[in-house]
This record gives sequence, C-alpha cells and structure tokens, in this order.
Amino acid sequence: MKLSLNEIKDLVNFELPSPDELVSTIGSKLGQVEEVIDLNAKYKDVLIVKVIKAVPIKESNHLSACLVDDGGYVKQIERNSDGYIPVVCGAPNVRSGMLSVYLPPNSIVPSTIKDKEPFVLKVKPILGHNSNGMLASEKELDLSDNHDGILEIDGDFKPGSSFSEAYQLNDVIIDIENKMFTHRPDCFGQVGLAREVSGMYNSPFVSPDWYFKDETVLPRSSDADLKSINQAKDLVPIFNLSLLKGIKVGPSPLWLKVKLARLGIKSINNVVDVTNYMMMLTAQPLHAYDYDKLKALSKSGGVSLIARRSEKDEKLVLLNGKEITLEEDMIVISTDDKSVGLAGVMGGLNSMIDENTTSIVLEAATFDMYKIKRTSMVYGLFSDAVTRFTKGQSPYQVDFVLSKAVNLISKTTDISNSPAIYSSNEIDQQSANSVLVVSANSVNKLLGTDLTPETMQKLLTNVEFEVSVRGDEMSIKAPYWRTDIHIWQDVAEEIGRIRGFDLIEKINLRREATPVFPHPELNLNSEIRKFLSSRGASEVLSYSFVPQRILDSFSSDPNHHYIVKNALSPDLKYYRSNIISSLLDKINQNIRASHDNFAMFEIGRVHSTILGINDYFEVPDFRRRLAFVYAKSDKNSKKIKGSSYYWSKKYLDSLFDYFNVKTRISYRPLTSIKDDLWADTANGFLNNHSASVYLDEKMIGLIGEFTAKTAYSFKLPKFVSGFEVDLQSLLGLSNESQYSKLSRFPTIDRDYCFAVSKDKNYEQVVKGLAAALSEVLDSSLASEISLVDIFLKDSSETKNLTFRVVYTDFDKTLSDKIINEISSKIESKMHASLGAKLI
Amino acid sequence: MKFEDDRIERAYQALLEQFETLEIKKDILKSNVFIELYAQLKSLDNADRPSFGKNINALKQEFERLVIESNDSGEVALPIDVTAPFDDNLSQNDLPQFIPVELGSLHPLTTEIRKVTDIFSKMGFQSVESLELDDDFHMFGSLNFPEGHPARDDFDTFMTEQVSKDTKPFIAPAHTSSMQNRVIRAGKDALEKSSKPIAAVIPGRVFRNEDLDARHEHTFYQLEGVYVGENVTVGNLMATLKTFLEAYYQKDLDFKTQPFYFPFTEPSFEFSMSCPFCDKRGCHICSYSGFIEILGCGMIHPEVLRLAGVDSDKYSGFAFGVGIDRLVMMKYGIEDVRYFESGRLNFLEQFK
Repeated sequence: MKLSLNEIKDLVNFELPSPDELVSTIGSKLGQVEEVIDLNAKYKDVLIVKVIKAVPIKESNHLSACLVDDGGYVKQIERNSDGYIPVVCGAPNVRSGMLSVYLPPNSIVPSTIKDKEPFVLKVKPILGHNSNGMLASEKELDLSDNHDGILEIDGDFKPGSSFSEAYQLNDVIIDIENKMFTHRPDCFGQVGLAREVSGMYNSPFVSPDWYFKDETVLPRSSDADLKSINQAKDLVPIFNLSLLKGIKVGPSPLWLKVKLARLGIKSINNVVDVTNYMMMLTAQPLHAYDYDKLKALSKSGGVSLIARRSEKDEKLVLLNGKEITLEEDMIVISTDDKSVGLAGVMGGLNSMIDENTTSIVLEAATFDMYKIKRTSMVYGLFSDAVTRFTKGQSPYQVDFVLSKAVNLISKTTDISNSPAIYSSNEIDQQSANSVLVVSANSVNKLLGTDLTPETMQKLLTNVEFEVSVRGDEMSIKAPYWRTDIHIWQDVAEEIGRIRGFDLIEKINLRREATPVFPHPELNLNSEIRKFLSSRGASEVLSYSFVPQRILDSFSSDPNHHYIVKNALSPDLKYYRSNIISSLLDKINQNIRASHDNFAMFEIGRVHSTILGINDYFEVPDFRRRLAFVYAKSDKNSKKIKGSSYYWSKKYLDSLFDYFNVKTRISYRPLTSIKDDLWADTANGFLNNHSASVYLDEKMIGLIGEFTAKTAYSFKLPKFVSGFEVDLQSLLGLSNESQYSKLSRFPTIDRDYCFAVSKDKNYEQVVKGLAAALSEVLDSSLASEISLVDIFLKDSSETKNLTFRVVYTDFDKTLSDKIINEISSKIESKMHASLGAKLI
Repeated sequence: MKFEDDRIERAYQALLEQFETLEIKKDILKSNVFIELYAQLKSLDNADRPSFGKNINALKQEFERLVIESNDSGEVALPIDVTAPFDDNLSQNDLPQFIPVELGSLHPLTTEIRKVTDIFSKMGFQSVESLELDDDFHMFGSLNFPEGHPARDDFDTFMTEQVSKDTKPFIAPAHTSSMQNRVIRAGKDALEKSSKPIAAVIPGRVFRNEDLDARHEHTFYQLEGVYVGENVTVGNLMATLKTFLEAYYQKDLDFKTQPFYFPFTEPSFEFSMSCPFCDKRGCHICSYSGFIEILGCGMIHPEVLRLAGVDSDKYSGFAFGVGIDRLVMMKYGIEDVRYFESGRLNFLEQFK
C-alpha cells in the first residue's frame, strides 16, 4: 500500500519528520516498508514556462518553432537576444501566451524514467531550427495517456517555477507491504495511514469531517428516477446509490490528475478519477454507471439497480471486453432485465460511462469478502477494488464516501440535479462495534509492560478510539472503520504496537531445573546419520512427492498412493510410498558428475493408502524409513568380484551390530511378502539377488539389487544395491556397548571347512555350527565363529564353507587334545544336522 | 510387429535373431544393425530422411520394450546366497569395503535442525515431529483461519484427491504451525494439574505449491516453537528469541520487531536481528541494512488456545516459526535453494 507524504501531511496535525525517520518508525510500528520512491527524482527538472512565440514551420504540416520564457532558470542553454529559449513543438495546441511545462536538455522524460534506457533530451536540429528540449504532454509527464497536445497550465505561475513544487509532485511515496493489512481495510486508504502515522508519533488524529460527521451526508431520496434494490442482504450489507444528472464527462483538473499520479494511478476522466481518488483516500471502491444506458437496459420506464445472487450460466461482458459465464450464487448488479456488473470485482461493458455520458449512477456498497475473493479467483480478476473488498470494510463509511465523491465531482463539472442517496436497507446493527471492557492489568500482563490506564487511553484516543477509564477498567469503543477489534487482545496489540513493541523489556522465562528428554525418533535418526556418514555415506533429502515415472519404474500401483490434485508440476503428483526409488533417481546424475564410488542414504517418511488412517492423529498414517544405496560407476566396478548385494548388506549388518541385534536378524528370500506396502516396494527388487529383512519374526525391510526394468528406467550403472528398513522397529533398541569379562587364559583358533549340499545357505550352516558348539562346549568355554571363505566349483553339487572358530576358556589353558575332541563332536553333529562333511 | 519399409523390416528381423542369442539383452540397443541404419540415414535425400528416421526410432523403441520385458531372465546370473556376508568363491579378504571415511557427509538441513533443537532443548523445549500429510483443521481451522478466509490464500497448499472424514482433502502442511493444536492439547493436563508449562519445538518439512527458482522451493524446513503457561508476556517471547539467536550465532546481537498479521497470534511480529555476519556494517546477506528478518512470532491467539481446550483467561503463550533453509543458506552463502533436495553429491559432500 502506497502512502503519499504530501497527501497525509494535510491530514495530520503535526509536522511530519524526515522520510528516513518515518520509514524506520513505520517499520517498527505498522509494517514492513517495501520501497521508498522519491517522486522528485522524476519531476525535478520539469519547469513551468510561458510560450512567447509559436510560428508554424513551412516545411512541416504540424511543427512550430517556438520561443519559451523560463525566467532565465536554465543555465548554459541557447537563448535569443531577448533571453528566450528556441524549442520546436509538434502539439496542435501550442500558442503564444500559454503556460505549459518544459523539459530542458539533459533532463529525463518522466514517463520513461523506469525504462531500461530512460529517454534523455538533447539539443536537436529539426528542419533548420534548433530544439532545446521539449514542451511536454500529459503522457510524457506520466499523468495520463493523453498525447493530443502539450499540458496547459491553468494558474498564476511565474515562468521558470518548478512544476513539481507547484503541484506537489515533490513527494515521497512509502510503499508498505500489504500482508500486514490483511485485517486492516482502513490502512488501504491515505486517511487510515495518516491516522496510524499520527498515532505512532503520539499526536491526536481527527478524521476529516466528511469521513464521520452525519451532517456531511447527502439526504435520502425516494423519487422515481432511481431505485436501489438489495436482494442479497446476507452478502451485501449495504448497497447505496446516487444519481448525478446533466454532467459533462471530460478531463480532470490538473490538481486531481496530480493527486492520482503521485500514487501511481493514471487519469482517465473526471468521474473515474474521483472514484479512484476516493478509493485511495478511504479504501472504499465506488462504481459509476451511465444512467441512460441503464435505462435502455431496463424493461420498465425507471431505473432499478439490483444487487442479487447470480443465476447459473448467466452471461456478462465485463469492462475489459471479456464475456464471462457466471456460476450460481455470485453477486451481480443488474437492472430489472440485464446484469450490468460483477459486484465488487468489475463493472459491465454495457453500462460503462464514456464521453457522451450526461447522467451517472454512483454506487457505494460493501460485499461479503469471502464471496468477492472466490469470484475474483474463479475469473482470475484482480483489481484494486478486489484487494480492498476482500479486507472487509465497514458498511458505515459508504454514505460518507459517496457524499464526498459527489462533492468532488461537482468541482469538476456542473450537475443539474440535487444529488441524494438511494438506499434499500439500513445497516444491520450487529456490524457496529460494541464497547469492550478491558482490564489495563490484563494488557500489561500480556505485553510485559507497566502502563497506566491513562497512558493506554491516550494511545488509543490518538487513533480515535473512544475510551473511558474507571480504575483498572477501560471501556473502549473502536471507531466504525476498525473492523478488526473484537477481543481485548486486539486492544492490547494496538496499545503495544502504537507505543512500540521494541520498548518492551525482554525478560527470560524462569523454569524448574528439570531435564528435557530427547525425542526417541529424532534421537534414533541422529544416531543413524552419525553411523552411516562416518562410514562414508552421504545423507540426502529428496522430495516427499514423486512423478508417475518413479511409480512405473518400481511397478508401484498408483492406487496405493496419496495423489496431490493441484500440484503446479506433474513431478509432484504422488506421495512416495518408499524412499529407495527417490535415491535411485539420484544415482545417474552423480555418476555423470564423475562420482565413481558412493553410498547415499535418506531418513524420511512414506505414505500410502494401504496404511489407512493413523488412529492417534486422524490423518493418513505413515512409516519412518531409512533407505540406502551403494553405487559404483561401470568403469569402477569392472574389477569388483561378487555381487553388489553384499556391499549394501555389509552396511546393514554393521548397523544392526551397532544396535546389538545382529543375532536377531535374518535375511529371507523375497517370496511371499505378507505386508502389502513392502510387497509394493519389492516389485523393484531383483528376485534371487534380494532379501526380506527380518527382526525376529517381523519383516522390517528389503535389501538387494534391482530389476532390469528399474535399472533401465533410472539409467543405473551395473553395480548398484540398496536397502530400505523401517525405523519404528529399531526404536528402543539400545546401542549401549555390552561388556563380557576377559579370560586370563590364551585363546585357540581352529578352521573348519564343511562341504554341504549347494542348496544349503550360509545362515543354515552357521546356525548349525553355532548350535553344535553350544551343545558340545562346557559353560566355561566360549566360542566365536567367523566365515573365512565359500568355495563352489561349477560342476559340483556341494560347496565348501570355511569357518574360523576362536575358543576361549575362562577356567583353564586349552590343549590341542581338548579342541580335537570338540572338533570331532562338532563334525558328527554337523553331519547329522546338515549332512555336512568336514574336509 | 511388421514394418512397411523393407529396409527397416530386414533390420528388424536381423535384430530379432541377435536378440535371441544375446546374453545381456540390453546390448541389442548397441547392435551394429542400429549403427548401420543411422549411417544409412545420413546418406538419404531430404525427402526420405524424416520418415526413415522416424522408423528407426520406432524400431529402437520396440527393442527397448523387449529389453524391459525380458527383464531379469537374460541378465541375471545364478541366484546368490542372500544370507551370506560375501559371494561364493570369495574369502574374508574380499569382504565388501566401506567407502573411505573422509567422503561421508551429513545433510546441512538436518545438521542445522539438530543444532537448533539442541539449543532449545537446553532451554527446556521438548522436540516434537511434524506431519507431512495433515488435515484442513490443523492447517487452518485450529489456527483461527475461518473457512474461505483470504489469508488462507497466502499459503499455496497442496491438497490430495483423497479426503478425510469431513470430506475435505488432506493437506501437505504449508507451515509447522499446523502442530500447535496437537502440542497444546498434549501438554494441557500437565499444565492444568501441575502447572508445568507447555514448551515445545517442532522441526518439520513443509510445502508450498510454488514454481521453483533459486529462491523458491516447494519443499522446505521450518521449526515451530510453542510456549504456554501462566503470565507469559511479549517480553518473555522476545527474550526467548534473543537468547536462542545469541546462542545460535554465539554473539551478542541487537533486535527489532516489526508488527505483522497472523490469524493465529495477537499481537503478531516479525523479529529481526542485527546481522551476525557483518555486525551491522552492511553486507550482501543483510542487503546492506544491518538487520535480518529472521522469525515470525506472536502471542498465541485466545481462539487457538480455546480450540486446544486451554482456558485463555488463565493461560497465555507465544509461538514462533523460523525457516531452516534460510538459516543454512545465510550461514554458508548457498546461492540456490534447490540444491538442498537435489541429491547432488558435489553439494552434499561439502557438509561434514
């Protein structure tokens, strides 16, 4: 929202401080300043001059050779013997004796100041005449789109006067972020901003009479010329009209053009300019209709303007020339026959005023802000009026603004009738601000201040609240334009803000000396992050949303996914149901960026419709997951022996070891996965080279390599494997180290090579060996098994597993004899249980 | 499948034969037949070239399809023993290796969340996780955003096709404030029975339906703070933020507030600190203003307390939110927010 210092300085009762000081105070007491625009930079060189002579140039059909009087103001410029400056001008209205505006050489044409290359005037010979700068049109001055002639100054100014001083274009505009004013319709007008500025400098503000004194309001009329009919009172709190006859629509006087130009609005004509100016002052949008056009659009003789709900498929051509088809239940303005405007958003083309208009209907109304918002969104129409109507103005300002607008129009044209207000309903009393009883102590307790009720009273009355104080109790009535004050906390905000929040002393909270317990899930995440990153893996975060492509590459059923229905990008269509596919999607780009050997992991959540609704949160359930991938570029994996599977498994085994659950973990073939969500993810894993991961009898994850389809769609190198595990299952596992007593006696190790049938897996053999050892060994004897190698001959039906067993006795020194005895017992047990042959 | 163009049809048949015998089916896409076709393409005249080119592509697509269909049959070697620590015919010496330790890295966002929650933990704030799929009530209703309120439009929220019990779409939360109601509700009993204040920080992933550029991400991280107790003041709020920021940057800072509007706090502020990178001398991080707007905050609106079942006459509190991505970007001078979720190791490996 733009604030014009020249506009508000006439409204406040104190000398405004410097713009810099004002900007800093506005920042701390009202809202963020986005931009400060020094208009003077744009207009500083523009001079008011007198045209002394204008002689048509023979060789041209429109140019005149002129002499202008600048009172000798411009230095170092060509002058004739009388001291006048030669300028060539192409405007039809240039004539001797007129006052106009002049841009000397080296000045910038104001309308081009924001262009990439602003237009800088030069001395230019034209048809044998030197032109020193130019006389300017309204368009060149950025006041309107009028380029028919040069600006004529109607006033008593000395040649050489500064144009910007004469018309107060020497202004500073402070642009304040609109977000701050979501609930403050009054701050979308200069009057409201002036009031705020007064308040923050502790100066009492008094609104202009026309904004609140009943005697300034036009009388009501019920004559037959016009009728206001409100058929949607629940959506249209007030719908008031005025009728102005015998007027002339034409250019606005310069003072009005300038007031608008300061706030960045181009002049159109006197009627539209007045409505725009009133909106800039008060945030109340107005709309003007051509009365005769309304009449022609009516069935009956008179004109009734009706605010009503739209019917389905009703058509309306808007001011911008676009035809829209209405939905049911929006607000339209219509005659008894035809709709003529989309209420609060944009008028209709059929009733628009133009240069032939002689009578107008002015509408001032308020509309349901939600309805206006929705209508604006549906048709993509965003206007200054919509910005204001969606903040919820007070209906009480309508009559004041309408009356003032009529008054201003009367300063720009004759009016043949005595305007009055046509109204169909009075404002529902419920929308009036009621008296709030507020305890000064409560306010102090919320703010952390120690203000007296009288101080609070002063701060509030400065911005026109009515406040009476009795002891600690304040009775407070907010002025009608403050539609945001509902509860005592709103009043506390007002007091704290206008006084300055930065004045409040910062006092730390006191608390009991109790520790905060770590959040178990976040703590587990930290442990895992530390663990994996210290083993060379890189932590990744990727989007929670995935495209169709990723679902397809895992053959994941789209019905298992939550679908984002309004994503701007199709890449964000589905909530992911596993994380590993997101990680696989990151491999190729890193290979291309010359990473040859890397591991990545991500900790995150997955969602799926399979999981249903979480009972506790009553929102879609989720799972916490850890995903990991290991990849080597093709050039780096050539010499690697064995499957990539084991590389990821080493990481996972080691993680389980860290959490002391290695012995409870088993790896089982991918067949018959009972959990639907894991089954869906397993589609991407390659059978025979992948496993389900079990903690005891619960499936907690998947590990392995990937199908050719998956590999192809992610453009994976040959050597890739990965895993995904459920983190909830790891919660509560302890990573505390476990200590067992040391033996005073030396250890002995022994290698055993067992030949077993090819279809026996490692786990069966190692468990068989462990079982055999536990049966054979005394309680004083401990053993530790590790695998040395696995040997498989292509043609053979058996394979050889070599284990090393380390024996430790706590009671005695072990002899070879004891170990040999143990070994032969183990041999027979292994033979019995697994058909294993000791080699 | 049959190709009209004889030249292509002949190539097709030749390729099919090769495909049958190939052990690695994918290699068909690199077949000399394709190479010859492309060579042929170059020598054709302009009239013939486009349609011939199209046909080659169709042929290639057909074989891409066959490769995917053949899926695992051709490529997979013998089954492996998934329970073993390493492959057949290998030994202990061939155990897979961890990647050299110096290459590991932690994501700067999770690291920063940890740092921030650690400070708040020391100040008595319990960490709580947020949700990635939430409902309309927690995103808006519980935070005093009336139905259809224009302030809702400031959040470009993602919504799902699937709907909740109340037939409204689920929502990808656009701020961590969506956890306020739950956190206050959870702490209500202890607050009322043993005067234990509610003090929580909630780091989480949040989402805005925006187009991406160097400064805008649709996915980013926020941290919400909530404190509710008796006689909690604006002064307490500002002191808490000051204490946190000074601990985080490990230096004394100056602070400014700017009034703001949030439906769920009253009063509401934006909290600015003096620039910790240049100590107010002016630098590109603070846009040469000496101050950086760092947090949105305010006193929890009585309606928000009421909706969480807490008596707003007896208790008051404050809430604040900080963008983690921005903290990290400022700290390291990261120029593009999109790097965070890019999975680019060149980026990630810089953060230990």
